[in-house]
Amino acid sequence: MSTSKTNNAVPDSVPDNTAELRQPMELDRQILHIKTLYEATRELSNAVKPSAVLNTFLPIAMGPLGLTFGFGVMRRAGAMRVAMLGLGASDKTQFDKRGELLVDKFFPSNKTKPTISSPTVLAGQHLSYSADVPTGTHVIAVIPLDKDSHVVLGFGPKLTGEAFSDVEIDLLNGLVNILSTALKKACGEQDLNERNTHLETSLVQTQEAREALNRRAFQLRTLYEATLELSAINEPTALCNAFLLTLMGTFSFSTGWIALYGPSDTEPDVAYRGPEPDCLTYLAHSGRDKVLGQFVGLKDKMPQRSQSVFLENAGARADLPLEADVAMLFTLNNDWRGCIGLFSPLSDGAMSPDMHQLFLSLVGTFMVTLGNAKHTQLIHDLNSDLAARNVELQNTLDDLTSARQEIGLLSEAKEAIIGLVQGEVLRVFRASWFDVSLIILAGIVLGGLFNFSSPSGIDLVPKSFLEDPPEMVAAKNTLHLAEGGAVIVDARPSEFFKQGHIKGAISLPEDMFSFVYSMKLSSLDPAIPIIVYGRNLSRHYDVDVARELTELGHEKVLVFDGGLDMWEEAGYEVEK
Amino acid sequence: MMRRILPILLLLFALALTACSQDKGAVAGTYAAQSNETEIVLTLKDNGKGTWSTDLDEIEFKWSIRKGGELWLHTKEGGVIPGVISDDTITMILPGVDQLVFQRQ
Repeated sequence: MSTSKTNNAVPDSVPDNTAELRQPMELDRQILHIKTLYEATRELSNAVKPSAVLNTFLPIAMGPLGLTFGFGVMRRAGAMRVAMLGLGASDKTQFDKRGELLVDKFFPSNKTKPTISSPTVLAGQHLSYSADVPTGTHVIAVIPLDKDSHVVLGFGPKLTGEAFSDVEIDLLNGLVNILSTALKKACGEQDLNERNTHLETSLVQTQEAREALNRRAFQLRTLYEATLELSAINEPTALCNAFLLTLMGTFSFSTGWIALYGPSDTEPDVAYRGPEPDCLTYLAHSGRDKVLGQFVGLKDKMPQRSQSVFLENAGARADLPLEADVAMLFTLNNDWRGCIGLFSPLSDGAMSPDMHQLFLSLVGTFMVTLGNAKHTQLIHDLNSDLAARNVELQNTLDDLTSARQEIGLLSEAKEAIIGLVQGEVLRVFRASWFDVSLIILAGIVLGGLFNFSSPSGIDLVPKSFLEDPPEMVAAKNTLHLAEGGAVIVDARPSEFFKQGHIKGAISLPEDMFSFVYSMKLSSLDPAIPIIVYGRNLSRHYDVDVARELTELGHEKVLVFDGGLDMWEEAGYEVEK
Repeated sequence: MMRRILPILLLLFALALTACSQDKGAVAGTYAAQSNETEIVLTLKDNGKGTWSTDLDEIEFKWSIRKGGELWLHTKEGGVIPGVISDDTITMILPGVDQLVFQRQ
């Protein structure tokens, strides 16, 4: 601490006759000064803010010395603080205007190195000549706190009008030092508080930034996972199902639906997750008009190709085919438009702007993958059509190849046949008797073999040629014998018998003789005459049957050789 | 000359074999029918031969199965008696005789 002493300092010497009286007074004054210093230390230690310290200091310093006024100007980090006691409002205005100049006079701003490094007290009437301090200022104290904080104090004259003594100047020095310490402490605490506040603010901001970062990371991760999942799906309906599940999980909804409608002759792609599975069918068959109607209602705000828009209006959402707390319309291209609806949220609260943005981003990804899936499906359909056409073309080529080969074979066969015929024609003219004989012999042998092996083979020589002819009978006698009990047998094939026969005749075809005989005549008395008829130019059935009957033991077998024609000519009865 | 006749003979032989290759095992067996008071027993043997037996007669014949499952009885006189096979019955008609229905025994 440095102290300047003015020329007006009160002299320490007093008359000798008062020395005894001065000692107790000096002691009281010292005690008062010590109390003042103690009180200043105690009071200032309680003040927290620098301005409060300054305001507290002035009455503590002025009281014991009996000063008329006092002021303090503090510049701290560019801000000015003024404390006054015993001065008027005009002085306050003056400090507001010129306080900076006053401080700058002792602590110039343009000097990097401080001119005053410790608290200093200046005293003297000359100080009042400065325009920067109130008139009558007798003491000025300057206190450097730190690089940017400085204090200038000023005190007016004593109420008694006496000059400041050295002891009083020492007291002021002590008080200024206490003030300096208190201000440094208060400034330090204020700085610490400000830093703490700043630190807390920064901490809150950091926390908020961290949460925002976490949300952003969540959104990006969700977007990445959705992109990864959707990009692996090529079928539009499966894509809608997968995306709906992602949306419901990300935004915590218990019910959701997606409907995508194309041209009227195409099947829509729909997905639904919720408590009523029938809604899926309803979306597919009845949702088209309601969803597409929303696009018409939006007019100029209608989402264009690859765009999406939230359906904010609750009334419009109510007109959707299914309930939706959150709904978004989207347009894939000029032909395909769709709507996404989420209903029944699992948590309260509106969707935050971040979640809105995430919703938009997810739908954007969905539309891209959906567009790709549609293109893939189109390519697949085209490939299938192309494959079918290729198969058809291949079949046509195979048919053409086959037809060509067939034509070639037919041509070859035609040429071969023509060659064969021509060769045979030529050969016929060159055929030898040996060849002809060989062919005839082969024919006879084959015919004989066939006749021998066939169950229907015939005798090479008719037996009727080898045996005696049977006894013949005329029509009149035939009738007479029949009336006498003779049996008339029709030996012709049964078809002829059915067309007409002698009344009462039995059909006994020659080729089924044994069978029919066993059924019809086997039990006939051999003594009963039998008359057989039926022959034509090539076959004498009557003779053969008559011979058979004779061989079976019938004693009188006759043949009516006139047959049915002569019977009818004779006018006898015929059955048909 | 033989080179030209031989293929024809082989062809005829193959046709004969084909005709003889009809499956008779499923039809072979003994059948019986009643006509008036006469019982007829029809026996079809695996070798293509058979007998038609009544109280008074026993007639031998050959038999075959035609395309379509029709049964033909070839009489020794050269005639053919057709019959229709249905499950275990054979139905046939003889001239002047009512329809005969033979039941497998």
